[in-house]
Amino acid sequence: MSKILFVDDDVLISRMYERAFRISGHEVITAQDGVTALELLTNINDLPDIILMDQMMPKMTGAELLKRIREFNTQVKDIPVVVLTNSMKEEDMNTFIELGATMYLPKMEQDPSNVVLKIEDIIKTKQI
Amino acid sequence: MYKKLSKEIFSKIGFKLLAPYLTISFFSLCLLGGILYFSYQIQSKSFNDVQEEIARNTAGEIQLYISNITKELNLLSKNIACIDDCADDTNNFLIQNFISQNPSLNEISIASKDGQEKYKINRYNTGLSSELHSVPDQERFLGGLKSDVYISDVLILENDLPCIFISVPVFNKTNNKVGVIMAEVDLSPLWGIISKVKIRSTGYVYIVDSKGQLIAYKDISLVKSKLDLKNIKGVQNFFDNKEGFGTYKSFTGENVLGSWQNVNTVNWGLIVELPTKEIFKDNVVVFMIGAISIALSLLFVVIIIYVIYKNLLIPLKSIQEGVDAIGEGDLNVKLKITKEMVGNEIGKLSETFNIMTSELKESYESLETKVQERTLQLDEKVKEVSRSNSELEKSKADILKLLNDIEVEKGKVDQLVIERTKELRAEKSRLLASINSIPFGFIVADADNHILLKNNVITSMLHLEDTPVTSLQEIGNFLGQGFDLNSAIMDCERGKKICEIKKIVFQSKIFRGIVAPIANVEELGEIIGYVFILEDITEAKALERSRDEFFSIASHELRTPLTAIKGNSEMIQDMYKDKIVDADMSEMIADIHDASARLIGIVNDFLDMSRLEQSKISFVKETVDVTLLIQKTCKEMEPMAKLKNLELIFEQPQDVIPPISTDLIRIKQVISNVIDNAIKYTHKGSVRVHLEKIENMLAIHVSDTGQGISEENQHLLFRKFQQAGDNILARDVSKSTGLGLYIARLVTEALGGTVVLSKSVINEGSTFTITLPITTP
Repeated sequence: MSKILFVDDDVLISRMYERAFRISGHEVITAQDGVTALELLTNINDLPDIILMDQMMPKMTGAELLKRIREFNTQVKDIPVVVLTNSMKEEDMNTFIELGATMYLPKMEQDPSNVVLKIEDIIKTKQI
Repeated sequence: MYKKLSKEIFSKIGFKLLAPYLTISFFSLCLLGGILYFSYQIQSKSFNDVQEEIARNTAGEIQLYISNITKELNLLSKNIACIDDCADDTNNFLIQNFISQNPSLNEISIASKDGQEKYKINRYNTGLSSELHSVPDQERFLGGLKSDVYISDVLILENDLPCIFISVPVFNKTNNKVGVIMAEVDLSPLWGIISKVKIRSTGYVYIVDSKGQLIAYKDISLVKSKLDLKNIKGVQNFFDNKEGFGTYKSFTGENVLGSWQNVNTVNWGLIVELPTKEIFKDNVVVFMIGAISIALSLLFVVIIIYVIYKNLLIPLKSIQEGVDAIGEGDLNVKLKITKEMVGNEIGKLSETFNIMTSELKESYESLETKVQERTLQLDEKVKEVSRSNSELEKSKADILKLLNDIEVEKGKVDQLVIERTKELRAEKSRLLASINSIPFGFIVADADNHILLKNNVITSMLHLEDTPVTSLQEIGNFLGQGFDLNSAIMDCERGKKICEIKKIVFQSKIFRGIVAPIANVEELGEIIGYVFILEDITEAKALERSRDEFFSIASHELRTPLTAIKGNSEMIQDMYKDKIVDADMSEMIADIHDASARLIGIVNDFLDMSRLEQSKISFVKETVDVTLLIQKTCKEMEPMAKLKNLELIFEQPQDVIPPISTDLIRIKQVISNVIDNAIKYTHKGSVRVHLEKIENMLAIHVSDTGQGISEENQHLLFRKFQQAGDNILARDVSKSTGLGLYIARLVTEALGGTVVLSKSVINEGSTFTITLPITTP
């Protein structure tokens, strides 16, 4: 039972992943853009265990958001971040890894169930 | 011969030797004469001096004689105490004494004041008183009375002896004259003095009194004859000038050199004369001696000349003749050498001369021979020269002809040039027309970047209508700081390659520029200019941008819903498995999932393909172990093969497969695609994958046992949207988009390899081969 913060501007996608995690027994909070996500992260008491974000978003890109997250003084900065993306470009991957992303997943290829499994793995790993 | 000689002497030597000699002699004689004259003068002078002295001395002597007597008389006068009626004979005694003491006195008388002789003593009549006379009128008395001393003129006595009277007064105690002493003085001693005087040999002295009468002379007879000499020049001179000398004719009739001196107190003239003849005589002697010497020397000279002539001049003459002969060409002449000449210089000279002539003759002869030879040679040479000369003439004519031809050709060439220029101009205008029609800005510049041609398009593109530009640099500056045309040109220059400047921002437009060097193919690619093309790609860029936008939008907008469909349908399948009991419902959900998956595939393919086509894909190169990759892929695709009961076999490679640097994901994609196709189009049998190394490429052969592809269809294989099905019109939509191979080709080619159908036989099967370059990472 983990708390997942899902950041994506597309409603369809958010809903889908929210469904996936919920059915798998996790709590999901969604944010439509980076700004909202950061606001949610300010609540110290109610921080997610992992953050899933889309790479391409208006207002604030995934990279930007990731950077901001890692700038937090609080535990926020340690929260694992998984970036969902369309591109499999190595340089993009590296950029995100450098910025502090825990994992980098292509969006379309993965079925949501797989994604859930992967996320659960990460949480488990972190918890260890 | 001697006559001839003498003639020759005169002619040859005369003017050379004798004439000067005679001239010299003549002048010497004159000189001698002059010298003699002067010596005569000098001699005269010396004579004069001598004479003068003699005269003076003699005069002096005479003077002394007289003055002595006078003095004695004065003494006597003093001693006379009385004259008249004296008491004793003192006076007689005195007089007697006086006479005896003075031998020159003949007689002494003393007269009283009235003129009466009171006493008189004569030398010869001593003892006896002489007759006393009364002499008041006598000059001797009067003279003595008047003056202190009276000296009379010279008298000749009866005995022919000269005398004079000297009177002196007698004074009494009161210094009054009381009487006169008269003395008769013998002058004959004078004669003695005179005669003794010797002047050279013929010189003499004589005395004249104040009237000019001869009173003393060596020839007494003349004296006795009372010779009057006042007309003699010497005497006259004496009267004029009491002292002097000169030359005149004397009473002797000769020319004399005379010297006269006054005898004071008596005013007599003492004259010393020396006949000039005597002086001359000496000089004449000298002159004669001189003349004789000269004559002798002349003779001597003549003798010498003769000697010389004989010993010197004759041989020299013969030498001269010999030289003349040689001069005239006769080299056979030989000089005679007499025995006198042997040993002396002339002989030696003659010998030498002979030797010389013989040598000369020899060398002359050899010279002649040489000259003959040389002349022959010269003749030859002359012939040669004239030959070559004629040849030269010929060549000259040829050259002239050639020049003429050249002129003609030149005219033709000029004509051609004119025509060509016209053609070129036409070419140029055609070129200009064509470049103006090019839809790009076009500039041709020379190697120094000076613009040779530019078309209208560039003018309007860059708004150069009012700005004249002459060089590419100016264009570069014009394009502004956004673009460095100059460095592009330099790159182009350096690399001798075409340089593309992808993006040039100019005002609100975007241009693309290309600088291409124009190389002279013949001159080893020497750059002779540049072509600059400017393309307005603003539209294209905009289009590109819009397309990019489209794609990004499309990809995102298409994918998102598709993802939702696929994801959700998959979740239903997964998480609500137990809830879907209905088979139809299950199938429907499955179909929805598959359809969405396929759609995603199509969208991906489209996007891929279009990006590949635009070369927008950037490949991520990494070291790939191809063997491993194929293994993995085969493993993944095994289930698919199994479904169709096909064997998927990966044959282990025989060769050593090195790892290559390539895009792993893309290559995997290609391999999957090809294997997928193989499986899809094979219904039974197997699909074999074989990997080998061919030179510098890796080859992956995928062979199937499928239907094979007919030849007509083969060329459609790699086209877009084609399936290699039997009926090209009947698309088997279940199979694929038809993009697979097309994309595969694009990808492999982009990575340096390719994918081809290497073999296909109907009903037997096909083999596709993927090649990849072995590029070391």
